[in-house]
Amino acid sequence: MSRSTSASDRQNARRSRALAVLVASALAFAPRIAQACAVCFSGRSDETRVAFIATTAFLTLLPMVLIGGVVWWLRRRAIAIRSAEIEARAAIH
Amino acid sequence: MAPRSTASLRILTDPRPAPILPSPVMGMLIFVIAEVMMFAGLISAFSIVKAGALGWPPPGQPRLPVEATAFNTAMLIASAGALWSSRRSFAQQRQAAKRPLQLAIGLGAFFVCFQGYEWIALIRHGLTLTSSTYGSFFYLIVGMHGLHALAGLAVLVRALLKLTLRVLAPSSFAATALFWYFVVALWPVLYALVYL
Repeated sequence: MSRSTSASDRQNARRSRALAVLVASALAFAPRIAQACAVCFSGRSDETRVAFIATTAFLTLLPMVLIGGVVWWLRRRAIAIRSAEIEARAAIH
Repeated sequence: MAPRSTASLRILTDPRPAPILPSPVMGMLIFVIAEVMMFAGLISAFSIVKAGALGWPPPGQPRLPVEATAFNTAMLIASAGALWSSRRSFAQQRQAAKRPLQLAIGLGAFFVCFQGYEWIALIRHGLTLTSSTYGSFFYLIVGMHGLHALAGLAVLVRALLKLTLRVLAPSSFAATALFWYFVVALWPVLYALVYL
């Protein structure tokens, strides 16, 4: 009894796996159904597509430029302050 | 005071290494970077909606007052010039910074009041927050900048009061000026995007 139950469980699990593989394959061959991203779905005209690409690049690069700019400016400032201090120390001693 | 003599004076009074940037300025810089990203998000959303629209501005919506706002933009830029002059005077003789700071506040207040006057006229012509995406974005972006301008005016008035009471710290004034420069520098970008 228990042996036959476990055999049917295994068979059911195998069927479920096969069904999951089938559904995944079907989705892979039907990209229109898999278009879940609202942003990609609405960008149909060329102008909108260009706007999407431009704003993606803008929003990606802007933080890097801002943080990079601040770090560069702070480094320059630090070097200037340190060299002024070294000169001042030399003048005192 | 020259940087070298400042460094000599500081070494004699304090043996610790000099801070690269005063804390108020650093804090304001981080805040301004966050604000830049917020406006970048708004600008991006606006650009995508504008690109996807069939006509811009949408038919039936009033045109924005381009020339009058260009004049107002010049007033805002002049206020940044007055603040720059005030900061220069502050470095030499503190009380001489008062007059240009008052001018900067006056020009900034003019900008905000003129914007308010324009908004009233546009609402009367039918451009409201709910009339179209055009109206929504106009009031969202320009309104957000207006709020920043009001906050900037408040901190400038605070700086003027402290200057009058002779308790204005240079780092505090620098942080205030940084915020106002951000408000001024942002506006021409928004003007070009939204109005033109």
